[in-house]
Amino acid sequence: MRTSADTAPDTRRHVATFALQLVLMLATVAVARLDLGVRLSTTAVMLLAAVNATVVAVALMGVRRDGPLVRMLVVLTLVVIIGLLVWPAWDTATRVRVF
Amino acid sequence: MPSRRQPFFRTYVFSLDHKVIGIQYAITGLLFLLFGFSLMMVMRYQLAYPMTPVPFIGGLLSQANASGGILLPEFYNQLGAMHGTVMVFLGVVPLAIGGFGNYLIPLQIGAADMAFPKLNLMSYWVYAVGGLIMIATFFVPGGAAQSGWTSYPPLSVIASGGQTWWLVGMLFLITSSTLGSINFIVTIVQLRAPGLTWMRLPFFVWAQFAAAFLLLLAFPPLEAAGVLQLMDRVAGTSFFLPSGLVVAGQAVTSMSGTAEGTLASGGGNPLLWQHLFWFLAHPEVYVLILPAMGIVGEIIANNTRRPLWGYRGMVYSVGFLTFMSMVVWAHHMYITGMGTTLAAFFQTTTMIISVPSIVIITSLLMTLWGASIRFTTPMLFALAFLPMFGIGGLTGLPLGLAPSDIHLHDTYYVIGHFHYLVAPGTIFALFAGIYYWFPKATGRRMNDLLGRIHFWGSLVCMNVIFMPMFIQGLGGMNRRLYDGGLQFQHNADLLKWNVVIGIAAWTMGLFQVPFIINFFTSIRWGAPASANPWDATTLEWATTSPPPHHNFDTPPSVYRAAYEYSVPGAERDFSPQFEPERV
Amino acid sequence: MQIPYTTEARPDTGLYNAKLGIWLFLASEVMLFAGLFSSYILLRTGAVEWPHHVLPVGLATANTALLITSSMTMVMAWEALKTNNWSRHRACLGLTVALGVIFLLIKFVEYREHIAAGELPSRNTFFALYYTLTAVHALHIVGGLVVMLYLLGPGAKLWAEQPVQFTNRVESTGLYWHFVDFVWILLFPLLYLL
Repeated sequence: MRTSADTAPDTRRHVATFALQLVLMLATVAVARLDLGVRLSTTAVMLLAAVNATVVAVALMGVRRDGPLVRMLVVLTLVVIIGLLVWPAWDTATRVRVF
Repeated sequence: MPSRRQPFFRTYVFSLDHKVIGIQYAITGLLFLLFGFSLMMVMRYQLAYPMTPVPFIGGLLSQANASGGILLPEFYNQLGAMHGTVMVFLGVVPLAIGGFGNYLIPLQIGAADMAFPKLNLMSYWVYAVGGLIMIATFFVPGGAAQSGWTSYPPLSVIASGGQTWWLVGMLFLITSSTLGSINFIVTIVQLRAPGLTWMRLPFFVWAQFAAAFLLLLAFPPLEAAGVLQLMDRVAGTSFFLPSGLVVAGQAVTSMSGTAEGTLASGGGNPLLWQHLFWFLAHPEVYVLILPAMGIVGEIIANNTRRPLWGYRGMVYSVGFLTFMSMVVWAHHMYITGMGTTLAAFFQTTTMIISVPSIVIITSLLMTLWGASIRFTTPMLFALAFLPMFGIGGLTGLPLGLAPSDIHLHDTYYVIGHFHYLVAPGTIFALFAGIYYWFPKATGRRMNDLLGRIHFWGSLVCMNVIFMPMFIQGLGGMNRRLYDGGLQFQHNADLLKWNVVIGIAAWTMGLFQVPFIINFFTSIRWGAPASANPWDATTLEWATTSPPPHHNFDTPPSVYRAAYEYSVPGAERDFSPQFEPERV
Repeated sequence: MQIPYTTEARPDTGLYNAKLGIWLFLASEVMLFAGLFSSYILLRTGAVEWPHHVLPVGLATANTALLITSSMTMVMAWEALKTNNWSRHRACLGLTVALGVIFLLIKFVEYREHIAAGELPSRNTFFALYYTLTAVHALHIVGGLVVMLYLLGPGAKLWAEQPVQFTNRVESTGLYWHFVDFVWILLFPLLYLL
C-alpha cells in the first residue's frame, strides 16, 4: 500500500511547478481580457508569459543545473535574440520611408 | 589501401568515418566550385561582347535561354543568381567547413572521430541532395532562380518556379549546416585529448569553432525567412509583398491588408526579408573567411619555423570577430531609407569589426618578420592570401560608411571588394590547405612544379579580373546588368575593362587545369609522404599518412602549445605537441 | 572504436555529448523562432489595422494546459528511469505522446474551422503569421512525437543493453519537448491574446 512516505519529494515539486504554470497561464488570459490598452496589455501579458516560460527553463529543463557551459550558451543566445527582436520595432519606428 | 570487411557502399559512400565524409565534402565542394566558376565564364562572354553568340556553349543552350546563342537577359540573371549561390553555399562553405573541418578537427584534437558520426553522415547527404535540387532547377520551366543570390522580394516572390526550389534547396542546406555545426562544437568541447587545453588548440580549430557558432546561430533566421518566402510563393501570403503592389501595369496586392478576389492581401514588408537574409549573410562571410585564416595560420607557422606571433591575441580576435559579426548586418542596407540613428549604429559596429581582422593579419605578418621562410607551394598561396585579404578588407571601408556607400552600393566596386576576400582570399587559402594536407590524406605529395604554375597563373589572373572592377564601380557601373552596362552612357569608357576581365577569367580557367591534373595524378603517382613530411607540430602529424580508421593507434596526449617551432636549446627546430620529451 | 563521454559526463564540462548537442540544437531553434517572432513584431508594428478576437481563446487555453501537462509527464518519464521503474516510464511517456496527439488534433480542428470560414493564410498578414507560426510549431511537435514513438517502440530495446544511454536519450528528448512547450507558452499569448 502506498503511503505518503512513498511519495518522492520530486513529485511534490512537480505538482507545485505544474500548479504555478496553470495559474500563470490563467492569469495571462485574465489580464488580456482586462483591456488595459495596447502598450500596458502587451507588456503585462508578455511579461507573465515570459515568467511562465522561465519556469519551464529553470524547473523543467534544469538550465541552471547543467553547468556553466550551458548557462553561457543561454546568455549568448539571449543576447543575439535581443538584437533580432529589438531591431524590427526600432527600424519601423525610425524609418523615413513607410511601406 | 587499408583492408576492409565492410562492403563498398559502407566504406566509400555511406561511411561514418569523418575522414571519408570530409573527402566527400571536399570533392563535392570542389566540383561545385568548378561549376560555379563555369557559370561565370559564360557570363563573362556576354559582358565582354554583349549580344554576340557565345562560342561552343551558345550552341548547346536551349532557345529559352539563348536565342541564336546570345544569352537572354533572364538566363543571364539565372547564371548570376546561381553563380553566387553555388559558390557560397555549395562550394566554399562545404569545402572549407565540411571538407577541411571534418577531416582535420578530430585529428588535430586527438580524437578517434567526431562526436556524432551518424549525424555527420546525414549532414553530408542532406547537403548533397540540397545541392542537386538547386542545380536541377536549371532544367525546370522558367529556369533556375534569377533574383540574385540574395533573393530580394517582391521580385523573388513573383519570379518563376526555380525560385521555389531554390528555397527548398536552402532549407536542405541550412539543415545540413546546423547538424554539422552542432557536431563540430560538441567534438571540440568534449573530445580534446588529455593535455589539450583551450590555449594549446591549433588556431585552425579555434577558427572552425567560431565558424560553427556563427552557422548555428545565424542560419535559423534565414530558414525562417525561407519558410516565409515559400509561403508567399506557394500559399499566397504577403509576408514580403507591400500593399498596392503593381507589376507590369497589373495590381498584384490589394491596397489594404485584406485579400480581395485573386489579389494577395498586401500588408507585407520587403525589408523584412532583407533584415532576416542579411542577419545570416553577414556572419556567413565570416564563415567564409575564418577557416581560411585558420589554414593560413597553420601553414605560416610551419613554413616560417616559428610560433604564431600573438596567438592569444589572435584567439581573442576570433572570438570578438564572431560576436561583432552578428551586429553589423544592416550595412548591406544603407540605401533602404533607414533612419540616421540606425545607420550610425551599424556604421560604428562595422568600423569596429575591422579591428580584429587587422589584429589577425598583423599577427600573421609579424610571424613572417625575421623568419627563414620555406617557399613551399602551400606557403606561396598562404603568403598571397595576406595582401589579397588586405585589399579586400581595405576596400570594404568605403562600403561600411554610409555616405560613400550610397555611391558604391550595387556597383562593381562591391563585387571587386568581396571577390578579393573570397577568391584570392579564401579560395587561395583553401588551395594552400589542399597542397598542405594532401600528403596526410593520401600518403603522397602533390607535384611542386604544377603547383607553382597553378599559383602564379591564378594570382596574376585574379588581380587582372578583380582590380578593374574597382575602376568600373567608382565610375558608376551597376552590377547585375546583363549587357555589362552597355545601355548606360556613363559606362561607355568602362566597357573596355569587361574585355580585359573576360580574357583574364578564361585564362584563369586554363590555369586550374594543372591543379586538377595534379590532384588526381598525385593520388596514384605522387612522391610517397611520411607521417610528418612538413616537420609540423600539431596532432594530425602524429599518425600515419593516411591515418587508420580510428586515427591514432595509441590515443595521443598533448604536452605543449601548438606551435613550438625553433625553441632555443632544442635540437630540432620543431617540438611536436604529441611528443613527451623535447628532442 | 568508442567515442568517449557518450554516457558518462566529461569531468571539466560536466556534460555528456548528447546533452551539449541538444542544448546547442535548442539554441539554433530559439534563433529560428526568434526570426519568426521578429517578423511578427515588424509586420504588426507596421500594420495599419490588426484583427482582434478572431481566434478561439478557450480552445487554445485548453491546448496550452495540455502541453504544460505533457511537459510534466515527460519529466516523470525520465525520472522513472532514474529510479528503475520501467512500467512507470512507459506509462508517462505514452501519456506524453497522447497529450501531444490531442494538441495536434485540436490544432487541426482550429485550422479546419478557419478554412471553412474562408480565413486562409492569404487573407491578411495576421492569418499568414498565425498559420505559419503555429504550423512550424506543430511540425516541431510532430518531430518530438516521432522520436518518442521510437523510444516507446524499437528504441526501447536499448534499456536492456545500455540503460544509462537510454536514460540519456530520454533526457535529451525531454529537453527538446520542454523547449516546444516553452515556445508555445510565448506563442499562445502573442497570437491569441494580444
